[in-house]
Amino acid sequence: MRGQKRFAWLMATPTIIALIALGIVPLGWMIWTAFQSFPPNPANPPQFIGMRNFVDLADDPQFFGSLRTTAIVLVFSLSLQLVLGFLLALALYSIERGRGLIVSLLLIPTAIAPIVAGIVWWMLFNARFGAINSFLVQFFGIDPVNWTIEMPTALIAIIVAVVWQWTPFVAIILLGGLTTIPRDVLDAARIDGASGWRVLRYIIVPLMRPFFLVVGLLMIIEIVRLYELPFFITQGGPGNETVVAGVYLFKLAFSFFDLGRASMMSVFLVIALSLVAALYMRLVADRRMTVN
Amino acid sequence: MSVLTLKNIAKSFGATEVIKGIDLRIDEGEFVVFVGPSGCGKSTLLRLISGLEQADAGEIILDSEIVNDHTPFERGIAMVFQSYALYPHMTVAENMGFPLKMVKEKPHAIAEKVNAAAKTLQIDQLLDRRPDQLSGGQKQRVAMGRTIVRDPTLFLFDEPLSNLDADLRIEMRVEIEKLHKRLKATMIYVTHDQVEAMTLADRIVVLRDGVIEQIGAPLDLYDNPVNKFVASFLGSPKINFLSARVVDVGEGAATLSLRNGARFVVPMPTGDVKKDDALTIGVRPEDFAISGGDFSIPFDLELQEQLGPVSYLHGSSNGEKIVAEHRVRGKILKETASTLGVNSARIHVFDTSGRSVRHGRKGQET
Repeated sequence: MRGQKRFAWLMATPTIIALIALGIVPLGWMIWTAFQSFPPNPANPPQFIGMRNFVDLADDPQFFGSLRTTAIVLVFSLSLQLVLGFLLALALYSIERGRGLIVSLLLIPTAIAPIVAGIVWWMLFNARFGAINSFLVQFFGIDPVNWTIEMPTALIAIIVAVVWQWTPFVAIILLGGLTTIPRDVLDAARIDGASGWRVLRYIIVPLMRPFFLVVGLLMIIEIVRLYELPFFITQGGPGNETVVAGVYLFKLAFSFFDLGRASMMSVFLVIALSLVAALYMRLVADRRMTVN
Repeated sequence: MSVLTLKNIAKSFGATEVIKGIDLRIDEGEFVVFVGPSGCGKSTLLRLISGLEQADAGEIILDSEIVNDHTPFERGIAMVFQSYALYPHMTVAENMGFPLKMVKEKPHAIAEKVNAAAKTLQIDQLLDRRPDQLSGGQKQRVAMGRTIVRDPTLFLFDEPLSNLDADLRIEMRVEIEKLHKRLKATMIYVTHDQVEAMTLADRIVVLRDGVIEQIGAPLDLYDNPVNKFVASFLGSPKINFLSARVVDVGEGAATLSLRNGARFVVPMPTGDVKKDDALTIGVRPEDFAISGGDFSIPFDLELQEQLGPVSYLHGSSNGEKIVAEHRVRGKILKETASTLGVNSARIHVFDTSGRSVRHGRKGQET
């Protein structure tokens, strides 16, 4: 028995070491740096300054601005991703032939590096030579829109790009969920008098809750740490209107070299992300259902 | 309660013809069982009746109305599935009340009907549970409860007992029988289990490759199968087949000879066979006897399966496999069972195409 226990620990040790080295040590270091001040000269050691970084952040309107922008992008992007992703999943579910090929093609936006996607969307939204303006001018006779340098179009451009990049991924996860619903259950609902819409409302959507939960959480994490897409599409402009948390964090660390404050912001984001995720789980998860 | 009429129903999936022009009438209050091997089209036929599948040709008539274009719900049909098909996110009460909720019944009326059905099926203490907290038998009761709250015109059962263990199967079979007696509803039941078919059915419909082989009362089909397929499908252990040859044809009878040379006379419509015709005779295991009968065949006993009051003797006769029933307790000696007697009045005779030539067609041949 004792030998078995020792063997179990032996087997688990490499994973535990990797977890500590890759997960806990960087997190601990981040928390430690959040309470330090880093002098401009890297030769000087950092100084412990207590909660000063936190107080500075609390006084920083740009920090709150970035949080507000992130919240707007999160609410709109997540809603659109879940709704469009679900509709796309339903459409894919009804296709029997060639579904695999379509799924592979759909994954292209998600597979593209965010930095490339950012550049592509910056070009598409460009006021002078962007394809979107060309299309609008040619087919609708609309004057060219300064997408990336005016509000609220700059924010819309970011949201469009985020939705474009991640909706297919959401759709594929939800499609996987749809295929787990037994055909007999859907047939039984039809026999019981549920029409298409009511099958969706009373059967499919409730059974899809665990999948909405998982994919929604992944998307919340993705959007909160968003950086490349907004950075390349709007560079945070006009003014600082589209500076999301990820972009401001980058600026704090690598433009202002304020590593302490950047770390404090990271700690704050981890806590905020946990709270948002908990709220989302409360909204979406049905306590009576277990996630299988 | 309804009368169901199927007229020349056909259904294909792609190039595969699954149902090939079926005609059938099921009377009010009748319990009809569809049986047949896997892939014979019995479940597809049930789904066509339910409206879950659309027929390519033919008419489905409920009472006097053609319902081909009606949705499953408009047909007023209730269905119990093999997998129970309960809604996993709903409680037992919500599952049973779902069809009533869909027709916007008032909550108190739903509760009343659900409670009444739950009491009938003895699941009233389970109403707050979810399907994953129920046993297989309880799930099947809930599935049945969901059908009876609606007061449907027609009950359909798609292999409802296949997922249950042997004891529960018998228990639920009795429950379904009781339900039929109490509701006096028209019921159609699909199974591949011939015991369920024999015990439950007013009439059995035997299907093969999308066509009806024979329709009739269980014992009628058992005693008067129209062909080898029906004869072998009903009965457990299966009927035994032995090769025979016509040696003489007389008025209303023929003399047949088996491989071992045993000869016997069987009544047979004149002109159905001629001398030297090759035939197959079918003998049910219970129609063999250690002693007695009009003629006997040699028997090489290989194994005796003792089941208590009855045992099955497995062996062969002139190279043809035989299973015989022996209704005496205890071990039998190989020498004692070296021959088996057969009563020629009980045998079935089939021609080379498998068609019965011995019996009158009491069962309806289609």
